[in-house]
Amino acid sequence: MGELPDYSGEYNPDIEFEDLSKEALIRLLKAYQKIFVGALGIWNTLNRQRMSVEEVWKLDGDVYELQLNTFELPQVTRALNIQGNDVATMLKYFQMCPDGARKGLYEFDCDLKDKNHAVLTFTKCPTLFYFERHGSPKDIECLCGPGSIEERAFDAICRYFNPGIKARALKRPPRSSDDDICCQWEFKLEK
Amino acid sequence: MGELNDYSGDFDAELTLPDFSKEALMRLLVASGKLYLGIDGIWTGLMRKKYGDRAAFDLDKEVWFSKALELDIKQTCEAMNIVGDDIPTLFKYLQFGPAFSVIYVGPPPDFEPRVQFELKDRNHGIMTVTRCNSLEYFERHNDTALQKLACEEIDLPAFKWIARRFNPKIECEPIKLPPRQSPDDVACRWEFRMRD
Repeated sequence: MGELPDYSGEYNPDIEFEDLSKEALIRLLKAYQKIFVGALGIWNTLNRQRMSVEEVWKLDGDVYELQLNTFELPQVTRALNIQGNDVATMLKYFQMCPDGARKGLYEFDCDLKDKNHAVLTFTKCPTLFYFERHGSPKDIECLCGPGSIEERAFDAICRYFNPGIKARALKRPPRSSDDDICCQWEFKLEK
Repeated sequence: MGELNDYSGDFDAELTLPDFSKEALMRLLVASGKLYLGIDGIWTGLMRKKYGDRAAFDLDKEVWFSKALELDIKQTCEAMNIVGDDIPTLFKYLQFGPAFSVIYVGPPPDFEPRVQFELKDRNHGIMTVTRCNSLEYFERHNDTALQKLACEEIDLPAFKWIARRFNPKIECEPIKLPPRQSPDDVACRWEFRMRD
């Protein structure tokens, strides 16, 4: 049996990832990304029926930070053998984590000044766009502002690779227009 | 540049998923599935501390049955072009959904399957989970409450829900559920039948 471009054919009780084409694996990986990010959104939405917006985001931040340290950082770095303690290594994780920054999801321009200093300019953020349409200024503050889930996540990722790497927001939402960038962050190893 | 078998090399700002080998993508798929189910466990754990077992378990069920399962099925079936309303189609989804068969596997590179599917005919199938990471976690931590939530309050109605989502005539019943008699025992076994 050659590589399957999808699974529209007959059911096979013994099928494995190996039997699928690379293109099919990539489509499936992108589907998993959407499912993962979607699940976070479902929790956030349902929790609003039970607690304040601040409590919802605080809980989201607690869950996300714990899952980063327990699952996502060790699983992804192990799966792809990402090793090192500089900013460039951390950016490799950013590119490859399931809810990470890449085309079609959270898109960014990377200015790698040297291996321990980078500026990322996020040009597309589906989560920000969602809360611009459906949320409140408080949501955007809890998502992107000081102490937000975003900042907590970047801090946790920096710490995992090297406690000396610091994340600093150069520009945060709210945006002045739809053409504006979403946010801009500097990652730098501080002496 | 040839296909990368991992990302141990230099950072490349232009690198995308097609630059990796199939083996690397498979490892990343298994990792993605694990953290999807893992974050559910973390979320439920924090909710238990904050609101108690009952409220946390009810909310977790609401998450799965309100939208999460539908999102899971829709995205997986679209990505794999899985179309149909019979038991083989249902099994095709169960083989590739992110929170089930794809993560109940042995270590790389073999990823030995720990969920077995047996299709008696197009209208009758048996699914056996030979080893279940979640059950082994519950057993190690002696967390019977969480085991009952996962197996009886989530998996049981979830498999029934998923079966009906593919075809309202498909019925699902457990043949065997935890607790296990010994570590050599299978974790659970399920029967799917198409009602006349």
